[in-house]
Amino acid sequence: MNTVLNNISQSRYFTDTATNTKIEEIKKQLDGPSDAQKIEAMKKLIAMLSKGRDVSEAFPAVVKNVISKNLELKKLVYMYLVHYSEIQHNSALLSINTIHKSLYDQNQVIRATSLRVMSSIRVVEIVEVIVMAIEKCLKDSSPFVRKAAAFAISKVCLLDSDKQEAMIEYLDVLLNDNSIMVLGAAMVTFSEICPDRFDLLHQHYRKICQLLADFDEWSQAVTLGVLMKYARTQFKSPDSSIDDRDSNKKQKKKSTSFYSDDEDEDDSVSISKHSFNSMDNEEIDPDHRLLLKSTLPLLQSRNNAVVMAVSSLYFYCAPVIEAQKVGKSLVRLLRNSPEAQYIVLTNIATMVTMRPNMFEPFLSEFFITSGDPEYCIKLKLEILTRLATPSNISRILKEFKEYVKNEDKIFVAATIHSIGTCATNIPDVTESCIYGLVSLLSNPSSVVVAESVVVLKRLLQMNAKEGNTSNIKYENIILHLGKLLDTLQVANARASIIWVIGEYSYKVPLVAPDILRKLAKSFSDEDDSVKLQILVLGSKLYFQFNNDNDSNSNNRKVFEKVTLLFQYVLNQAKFDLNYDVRDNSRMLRHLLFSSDDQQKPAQLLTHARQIVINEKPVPTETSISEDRQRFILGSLSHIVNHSALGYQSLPSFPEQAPDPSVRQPIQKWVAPNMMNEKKIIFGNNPNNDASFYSDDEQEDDEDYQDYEEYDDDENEEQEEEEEEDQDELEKFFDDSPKKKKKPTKKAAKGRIYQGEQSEDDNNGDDEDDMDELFGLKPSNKSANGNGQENLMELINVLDSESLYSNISTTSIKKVLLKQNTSGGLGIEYCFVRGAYQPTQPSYNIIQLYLKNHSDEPITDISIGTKNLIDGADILEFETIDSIDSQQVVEKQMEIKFNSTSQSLKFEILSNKGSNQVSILPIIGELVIPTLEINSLQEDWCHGDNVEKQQDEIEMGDSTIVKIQDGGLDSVLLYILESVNLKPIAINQLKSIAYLAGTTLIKNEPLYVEISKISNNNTNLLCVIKCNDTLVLQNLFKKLRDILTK
Amino acid sequence: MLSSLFILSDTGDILIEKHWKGLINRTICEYFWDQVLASKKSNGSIPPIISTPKYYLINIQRDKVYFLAVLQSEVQPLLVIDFLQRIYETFVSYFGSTITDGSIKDHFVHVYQLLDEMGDNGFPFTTELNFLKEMIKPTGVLSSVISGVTGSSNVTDALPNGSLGAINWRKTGIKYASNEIFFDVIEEIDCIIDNNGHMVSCEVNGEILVNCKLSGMPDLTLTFNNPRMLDDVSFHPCVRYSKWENDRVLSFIPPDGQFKLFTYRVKGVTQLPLFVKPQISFGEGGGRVNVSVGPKVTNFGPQQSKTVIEDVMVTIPFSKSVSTTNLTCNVGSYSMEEATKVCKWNIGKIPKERSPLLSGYVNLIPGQPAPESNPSLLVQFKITGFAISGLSIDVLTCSEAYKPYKGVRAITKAGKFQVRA
Repeated sequence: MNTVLNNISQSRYFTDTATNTKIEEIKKQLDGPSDAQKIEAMKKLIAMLSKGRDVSEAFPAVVKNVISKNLELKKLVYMYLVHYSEIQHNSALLSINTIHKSLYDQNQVIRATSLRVMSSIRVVEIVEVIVMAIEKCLKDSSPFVRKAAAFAISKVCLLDSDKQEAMIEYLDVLLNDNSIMVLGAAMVTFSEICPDRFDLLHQHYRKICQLLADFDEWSQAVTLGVLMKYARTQFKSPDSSIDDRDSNKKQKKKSTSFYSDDEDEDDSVSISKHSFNSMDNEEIDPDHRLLLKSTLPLLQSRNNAVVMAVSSLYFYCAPVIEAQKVGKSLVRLLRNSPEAQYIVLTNIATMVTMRPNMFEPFLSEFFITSGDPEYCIKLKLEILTRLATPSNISRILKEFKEYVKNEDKIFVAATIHSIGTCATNIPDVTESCIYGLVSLLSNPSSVVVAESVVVLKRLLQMNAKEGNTSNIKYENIILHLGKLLDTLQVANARASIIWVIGEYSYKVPLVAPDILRKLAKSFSDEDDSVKLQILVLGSKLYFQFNNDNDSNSNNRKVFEKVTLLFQYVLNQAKFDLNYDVRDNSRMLRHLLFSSDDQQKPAQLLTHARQIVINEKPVPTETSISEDRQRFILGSLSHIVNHSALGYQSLPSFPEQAPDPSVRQPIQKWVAPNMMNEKKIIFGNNPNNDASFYSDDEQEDDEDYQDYEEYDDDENEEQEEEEEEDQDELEKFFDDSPKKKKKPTKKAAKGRIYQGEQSEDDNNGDDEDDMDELFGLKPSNKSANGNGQENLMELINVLDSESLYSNISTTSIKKVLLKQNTSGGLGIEYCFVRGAYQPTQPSYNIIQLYLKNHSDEPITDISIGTKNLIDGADILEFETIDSIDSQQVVEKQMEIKFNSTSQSLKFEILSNKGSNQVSILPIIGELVIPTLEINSLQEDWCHGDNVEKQQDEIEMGDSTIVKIQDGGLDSVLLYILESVNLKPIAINQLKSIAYLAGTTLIKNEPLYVEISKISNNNTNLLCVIKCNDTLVLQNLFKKLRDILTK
Repeated sequence: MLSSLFILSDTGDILIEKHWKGLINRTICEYFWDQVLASKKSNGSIPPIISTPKYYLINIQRDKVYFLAVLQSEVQPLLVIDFLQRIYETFVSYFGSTITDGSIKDHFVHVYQLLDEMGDNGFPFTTELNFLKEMIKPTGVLSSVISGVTGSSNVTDALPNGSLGAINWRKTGIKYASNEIFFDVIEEIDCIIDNNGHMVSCEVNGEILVNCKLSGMPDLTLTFNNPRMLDDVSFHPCVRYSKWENDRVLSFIPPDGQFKLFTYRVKGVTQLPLFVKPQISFGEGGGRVNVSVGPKVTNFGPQQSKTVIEDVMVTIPFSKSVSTTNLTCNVGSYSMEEATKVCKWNIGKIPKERSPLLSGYVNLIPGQPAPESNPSLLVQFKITGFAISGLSIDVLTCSEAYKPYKGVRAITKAGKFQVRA
């Protein structure tokens, strides 16, 4: 029983290892046959590691176990491996192969784990292997694995900075991803490896803003930081006054401290008016607005960092008025842990120095409660001081009065300091503050008294200078201070008092010399700072009473005594241990007492009085919070107040915003000849009457099969998805006018161009198409009379990114192998689309879903003999060891049809026997949506030598419904479901749309134009251009089938 | 982000070290420990961020352990603190409510496994508890006995295969025999009351804790009777922001089990449920103390007569110059800790018939001057079945076919309830 109990607690590993530390034994266990023993050994090793022992000598024995199938053991080995790989890198290399193999595991978590482990092995020699692994994982179907790949990218950059460029390219791929998990991780990586490559973000900016709310909280915080800097470089300042205003404010803070309050208020009123005006005047870039709009809800995140990041973004990038909103949320964070509270307070303290009105409504939040840690107390006091205005000062002072009664004297001292600052800033209360402070001088705590003295000194200095408006009795205060010298021991305070007496000795002419006398007695026991002040006092008194014109004999007497006293002090100082004191005494002696030597410059003598007695500038107080303004809010550098490694300062808004069109989707396409050519189109085209209805209709059946094979469920799903897509599309096109184009043009009816026959006509027609795209039609023109100026506005470039991304990455599932013919093994397949390119050109990626419908495992599934036509090829998947009953396994393979009609025939082998199967090429998948935009432009305009087919197609009922509901967009979506093309452009009236792609077999560019025909709601004009005739014709048929459905 | 993470016991022993960006010698912890010792000496608190010549150390102290993050470069410090906090919360959910060096040692393999999953490259990787629990089985007494006896592993064999997609806080295929969901509305009153009985500041911090035992993927919508009062809220990530912005309803797919749905702050509460009137005056050699507590006439809602204030406790931290106290109370019990001079008056339930009173004398240490200020009293209490902000849940609708059993419970507690004497 005892042993069982002992076994239960893992802490035995900690206690055991103290006595049982023989690594040799552990090694033996690791070499043993039993997994349980190995796990035991690994736990011992890790416990030792935790205790700080270097157990790297067991490395070789551990590495061997990386092949273990036992998941727990494997994880322990990984843990150990990552820990020691750096120092044992030769042995670490042994493990790479095995880890690499598990990149091909069926389970996404295992794939992700092995990538993470591999990239965590910090050995430069394997960096190439890691890069390859990342490349593979970029294409993984699981977002979890792709997320791990994003993290691996930044690890590679840390390991080998030469790889930076290549890694940025990978990152670009991930930024294209639409999974929030991946995109979030990609943004984290972006901020780690290339935080200033904003050019990579332009294209994704809108997508990121829209998806931001769904990111996980950690990536949200990082992404917000990136977006903030992005906004600061790409947009204009939201109110042009933002910078001026801040600096104004700062200046005001310093110079207006003593101005009367009404002036102050006037100022702030005018400022707020000003910012209102600027709000009205300035147009904020829609993308800028999008950022502000999509980040605002995140203020309600439960995560402190996210709220802080949004606040900082608003503070720097939003109009000042709107930035007020964040105050409330920041204050909310103060409820959280004291550590978080500290950081939030530090940030608020800095914000308050720049925009105090942001936090004025939350004054009472900063009241100190018992239990606040001292670092928070200081910050709260500072914030309270900054927030003080004539209207709320009484409330604040009432609080302060409570605080000075506190038992914690450091806290009291800090409060006194704050009282002083308030008194300085708000003249109304200066008087009452001074009396309050004087009453504190009788406090038993020397710390409190000292602080009061220091603060009083400052207040006196400022008010004495201001003149006699106030009726404060300085004499009394100074006398009070003078008395304190007998008891007060704190050097700093003594020095302050002595300085005050010296400075204002003319107000207390009777007492001052006596004080000097006392101090002269105790001179040698004083602190250095006090000694210096005594010297200063002496010199001041010397001049004070050295007034030749004064005939008062009493004064002469005093002067003589003062001179003697002072010389006595100087003599003492001459032999002081501190060189500062010695130097000072020497200087003063020569300055004041001319002695007998004649070399003393006469000028010095004449000005000596001025040097000692003059008007001193009032000390200004700069706090660390003001100093912190130079760092971005929410950053580490801001807290520690120096630039941390990797800190990037906040860029200032550009004078002129950079080109906003960079954020437009890249498929923008402008015809070169559109502005200078007005053509009358659709005139009397001689070929207009050529009738359509092709003669090879019987081939259509083949294509129909594709549709008949989906089962009902999937169909429903598909439709649901589509609905969502449409919603999103509508959202996206929200700002474009919804009105449908009026059918005005007379359309050419049913014509067919066979490329070779009508080459001559094509040229003219192509240009017509151009014009049509931009809405330039004579009839249209006469209808609205807009002319050319409006042409540009009519263009609406289709955001193919968003449209395209909403199409599933795979086409419709089809059955490859039926379960009832193969003894339980059912295989379905579909074509993979999307960003994942096959390893070789002209190949399609096929996703296979193998399901075991039988009750027993099916093993050894592989591809057997292939019966292929010339040029076709299959890159087969690895043999699947076993599929358990009812389990589904996904596999990918790559195939090359090299034909538009010939199917690939091959065998599927398993332990249940072999089965002949075939995959038919589908025309919609024989094109891929990759295309250079530039080549597209050229080809359209100079498309003389391109084959072309065009006709009107009568739409089927469902298509008509779609076009009425959602315009051409929804039809496009419908088409994209079956044809793997890329939408390029659509005009604003949604009457013409362009799609493009490349044929797989011959790698020829392919273009499709679909346009509505005016006066005819049931027909669509469809033009396809491509040099691959077979594809051209098949695709045309396919389109017709889709549209007539 | 993080370079390394250390977990230290309250005696300064390093319990766990985890490195993400290469090994950092554990001597780095000495910088931190020096600070801890210094702050212990001066009775202060440890600064959350410490800069050393090469590294920055960010720490949080929870229960009896320190979590110490070591960083080399710029990062958002709140992100680090939140991450450490999340690690701590995860530990709590795995190993029990208080984390001590013992519980860390007991589960050190778990700790390493969790850290492995939770962070990658020093940045939070998988932090969703539901998801973590699928990968690493939590320990209970039973399961650790079983694994102790049979040697079975705590790493689950069946790794999550389902969607790791948008809804990462809920796994698929959850089934319960009876579908139930419970809402706990917990409100804490933070306030400062001055010696005249006026409120200096007062706010109510509320949170709604949910215990969800629902099958499938329920999409819930929660509406309130008075949503207008909620203008300062923060949500669990499962809540859809836009729905709240537009319709003032909470729309969400809940995680399984217990979670905090949202927190809110309400200001402008003017009526407190009870009063505390302290009268403390010091004179030469001693002082008089007289504290009375009683319920205020507050609108407790329909069940007014049944509502009782429970667990009332008044804490008076006397000045260090006090030597002994001679106090009596008519309700509850009273005790004083000699070392700290903190006096605790445990009243319990406030009786209807008489109002509790604590009175008597305190003596000062001879020769010590009378303290210049009176202590601030801290008050604790609890009222069940009552939310002081007046928040009430109206309707909960569920997308699934079944009708879940719904339960709502409200508690009002004292937070930082401070009364200046």
